[in-house]
This record gives sequence, structure tokens and C-alpha cells, in this order.
Amino acid sequence: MGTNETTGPSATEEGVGWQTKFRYVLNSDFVRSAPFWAVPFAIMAVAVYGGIGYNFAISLTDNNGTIEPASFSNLDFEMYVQALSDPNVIQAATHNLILLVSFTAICLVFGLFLAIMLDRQIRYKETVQMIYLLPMSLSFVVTAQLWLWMYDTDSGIINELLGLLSLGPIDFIGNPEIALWAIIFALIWQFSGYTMVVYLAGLQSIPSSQFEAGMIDGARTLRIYLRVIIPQLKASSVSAAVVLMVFALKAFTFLYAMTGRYFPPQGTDILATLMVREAWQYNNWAYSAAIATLLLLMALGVIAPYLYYQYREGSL
Amino acid sequence: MGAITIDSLTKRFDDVVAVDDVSVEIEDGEFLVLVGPSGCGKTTTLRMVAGLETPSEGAIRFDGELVNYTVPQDRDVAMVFQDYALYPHMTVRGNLKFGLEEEPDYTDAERDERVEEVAELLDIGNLLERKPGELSGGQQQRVALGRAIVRDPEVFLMDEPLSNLDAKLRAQMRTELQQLQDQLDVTTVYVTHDQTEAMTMSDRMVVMNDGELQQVGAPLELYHEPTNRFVAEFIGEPSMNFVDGQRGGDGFESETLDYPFDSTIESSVASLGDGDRLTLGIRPEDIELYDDAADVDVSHTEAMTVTVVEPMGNENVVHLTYDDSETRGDDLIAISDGLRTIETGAELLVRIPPEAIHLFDGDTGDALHNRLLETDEQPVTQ
Repeated sequence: MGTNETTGPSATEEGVGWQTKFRYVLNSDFVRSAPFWAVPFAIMAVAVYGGIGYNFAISLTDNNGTIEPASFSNLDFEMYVQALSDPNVIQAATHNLILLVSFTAICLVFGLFLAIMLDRQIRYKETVQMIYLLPMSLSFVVTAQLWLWMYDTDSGIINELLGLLSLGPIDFIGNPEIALWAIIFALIWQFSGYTMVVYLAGLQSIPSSQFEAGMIDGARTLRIYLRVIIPQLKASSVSAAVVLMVFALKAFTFLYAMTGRYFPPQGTDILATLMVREAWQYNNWAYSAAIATLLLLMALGVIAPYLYYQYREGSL
Repeated sequence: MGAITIDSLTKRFDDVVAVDDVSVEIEDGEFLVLVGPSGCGKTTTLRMVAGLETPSEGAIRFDGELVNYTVPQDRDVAMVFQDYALYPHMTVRGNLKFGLEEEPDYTDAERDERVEEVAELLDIGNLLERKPGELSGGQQQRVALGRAIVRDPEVFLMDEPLSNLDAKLRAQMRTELQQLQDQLDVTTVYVTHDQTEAMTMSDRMVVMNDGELQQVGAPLELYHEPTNRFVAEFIGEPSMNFVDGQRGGDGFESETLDYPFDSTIESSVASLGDGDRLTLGIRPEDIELYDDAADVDVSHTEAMTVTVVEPMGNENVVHLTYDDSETRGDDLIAISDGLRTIETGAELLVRIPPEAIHLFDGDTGDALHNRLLETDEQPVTQ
């Protein structure tokens, strides 16, 4: 591109005319490549950033009842003040945080453990890998239903098993104290296979001579993993963690599918379910938009350290 | 301390025999080089000494103590890997210190001191705070070496440590390694496929092929007195010329060359009858080239044509073919003085001196007769 930027004979002279300059601009790579980048850029600008902007604008109004007509006459941060002092929002945000941190952390540790076990020459690696990865391919709706059955107080397999040990029955979903942890457990079941595959790929890219060098250096297996192998899995950890956190924020589908109503099981309300409930059940559009903005900020809080890490590593 | 006995060592991977019944005694402080073509089992042997592989049969003893099932951590060996295997997330200091941290009788200050001492020895003192990724190949090589030295082990094991360096650096590191080994006086087992490295560095070398040990000895011993055709061919560059033929007439007969034997040679091939297959070997530098018939002792002389001349500066590598031979490639390769001008296509008189020939059994490849060495040319046994 740009090799044929001939701008006519006058181009070499001092003080070229505006036509020549215009032609020069038209011939530049930036303009000539426009059909390729401008279309996706425009769609992105309107659909994503336009959407965010419009949502923010609504959150500044006092809009409720109907979507139309949105009156943008008196804008203020009243909805944010209301949201930040609303115990429901605080509680939902707390649940979000618990879900985010514990789900991600446990998934990473458990996935790493599985990956190391597999990497240590267990036979039928491919088959086992598939078995662990399979839950990841299931829809949240399927997983939610599956675990709902398994957690069932009367006939669920988990309570049946507990019954064999003369324990329970425990109402996992009905008890607000443990419902969130029951859901986190189900999500870990679904995603630790994914974490394992990411770590396994990372482990297999480390040459076996690293491990051997550690052995020759006199380090025992545990120490080789802690000091030599796991530190080299930093990139795998970061990318797996980002994906897990994003899924943690998207747990709405899972919760919604559990009850099929705007109310998720007690004790598991997160910002996303609260937002949808406020909007579609109570028609508090402005309030719901404010919650959406808070959720967006939370997501940015997750992604920002990752972007900074990428920037520091020079890959951004 | 640091003597290694390898006794009938065998390693099988499923059905493949990688190392077949190898026995070597390695003395304390010796620099032993395992050399052979790829896949000959030399690296597997080294890894068994390191403890990274378990022998299928046979024994490895350190100072008489059986170590077959001792884990590498407890063997007090250090190893330099072909890919260096530096820990990429640690600084050079971290890399050197890692092994020391496993040894409880050092304080942290002593460890640092030791690291700096070794870094100074290897001239990498200014690189201590860098990561391996920021170092050149030669510097990484030094760090890998430092990591081995720092722990002051009984045995150094080196797996083709110089193969990733460019030719000039390799020659330099070769000398440095030798000096270092002299200085530290630690038993060293060094694996390479490069016969030049093996010849120049070793006290003794072990030539392996197809998992089997071919010959053990001092470099010049192997050069002048190979026990079989494989060793004769493998050692030396350009390699020895071989002419396949048979016992017949009053010496050696082949399609291209008839070579009468004198009484000394005759006695070493006495067991062979007429028609038994025989291979004649001659080193390129032993072949004499003459322009003029007047200069030559007529016996053992043939007229040949030069097909290619490769000038190396100090010497010319001259490819020769018989006048009457159909284009079957070169019959002999000779080396002449670098200052002598030899034209492609020239006719030369080629003399194969009887005192320099080797004879090998045509079927088994075993050496029947090796070149005669005059007393002042006796190989210096180190």
C-alpha cells in the first residue's frame, strides 16, 4: 500500500495547491484503508460505546414507569446516591465480590492441581482432558438445571449420598446461608476443566529440562513446582483468571435459570439480577441504569489490571 | 572422590535398545568425552549417570557405591544441558543461587559470596541482576556452567553444551572449559557428536555407535589405532579413505587398486585366505602426491586425476579419481600443503605409503592391521 502515492508533477514544488494536498490526503493509507476499518469501527462506536453512553444518560434521569419518553431535562446523580445507600445493592455487590474472588481463586488452584496431576504422565491424557473440558461446553441453563436436581432436598443425588452417611438432608438452594456457596461449587465444577486445560497447555510449553535442572540442583518435587514451574505459568494464570472473572460477572444466566423468575434463590442476589429485576419488574429504568453503570465499573476494575499487565509486558 | 564405574549398562525403551552393555571406568578428575553420531546412546548414558533415567540392566557406581536407584538430588552431580535450561523467571543470581539454597549448611551471606566468586571466575559478575532472556548465547552458556560449578559437585555432566554456539565462540569456550576443568579438577563426563571437540578436550574418549561401545582410549590412540572401521571413519576430518576389495595375489586386490604387502603387513593378515574380503584404509594426510615420476618410489604408486580442490588455506583437500574409472565419484581424498598449487583436472602420481595403511576385515569391520608409528610419533598417553 502507498507505493503509488504519486501526486502529480507539482508535488515536488514549494507551495503546492490545495487540490494537490487534498489528493495527497485521499491517497494516504489511512483514508484508503477506511472501508475496511471504518465499518466495524462505526458499529462498535454506536452499539457498544453508544450503548454505554445512553445507559449513563438514562441513569442521570429520574425515569421510571415507561421507557418512553425519556426526558433528559433535569440530570443529576440522585440514582447513584440512592443505589450506594441501598442495602440491596450493597448486598448484591458483596455477593458479586464473593463470587468473583472465591470462584476464580478456587478454580485456578483446583485447575492447576488437575493439570499438574495430568502432566505427570497419567495415561489416556487426551480422554481425561476431554472429560474435564466437557462441562465448559454446556450452557449455563443446562448446568443450572442439572445442579438444581442434584441439590434437591428430597431426591437429589447429593442428599441421597449424604443420607448414606446419615447426614442431612440439607436444603442447599433454599438456605440463604449456603445457597451462594452451593452455586459457586456448581460453577467451579463447570469451569475448573477449562482452567486445567489452560494450565496444561502452559505446563507442556515448559521444556522438561527445566524440571530436570531443578532435580540436578537438588530441589525436591514440591519445591521445583513452587519455585521453578508455577512461576513460569504466570501468563496462563492471568489469562485464565480474566476469563473466569468475566464468567463470574455473567453468572446472571445461571441464577436466572435456577428459578426462572426475576428473583434468584435467596442469598444469591447479584448486581446483574438486581438490575434486571429493577428494570423489568419494577420499571425503575433510571435506577437500573445506575446499577448497570456500577456493574460496568466493577468489570473495568477486573479488566484494568490485566490491561496494565499486558501494557507492561509490551504486548499492547 | 568422583570415580565412576559403569558396568554392563543397558537401557531399553520398550523394544528399542538405546544403550547396549556399555562398561567404562572413569577415574577421579578425568575429562571423559562420550562421542558418536546422533542416536548412538551417548546422551542416554549420560542421563543414567545423572539419575534422570533408570538403567534397565547393569550398574552405575560412584566411588564403589551403587547409585542405580539414587535420585538425582542425592547424587551430588551437576549438569549443563544442551538448551542450558536456565530458569527464565529468575535473574542470573537467582539461577546460580537456586541449587545452593538446597544445601542447608550455608548461610545466606555465604551463598551470595559463593555466587559472586563463581560469577567472577566465569567473567559474568556484571550480569548477575539480568534475566537469562536478556543474555547472548555465550553468556547464557556461562551462566549454565556457573550453575554447575557453584555447587562444587563431585561430577560434572555436560550434554552437548557448546552445540548452540557459533563456530568461533565454540572454539573459545572449548579452551576455557578445558582450563576450567584442569583448575577445578572435577570428574567430567562430556557428551558431543563433534569429533573435534572430543579429540581436543578429552583425557580419554569413548566412541559409541548404535548403543554399543566401540572403543575407549586417549584421542591419539583412537586416531592412530582404531579397533574397527567405524572408529577409523568417525575420527578425523576429512575422514579416512576406504577401498573395499579382497585378499589376493601378493596383497590387496580391488577393481581399482592392487596393493602388494610387505612382510610386516603380511603377518597381520596371515589368517585370511585368498578371496576373503578386506578393506584398505588410508588417512588423507598420509597420501603422497607427486607431479613427476622421477621423484617417486615406483612401488605403491598410481596415476590419478584431480576432480576437485578445496583450498583451506593451511592445506588443500584434493579429490582424486583413477584415470580409467568411469564417473563413480571420487576414489580417494588427499591433503596437500596449502601453498602448493594443484589444478583441477591435473594428473598426479599418488603414492599410498605402506607404513600408513590400515586394514579392516571386510565383513566385520574389525581392524586387522593399524599404521606403523615411528617411536617419536608415539601417541602421548595422557
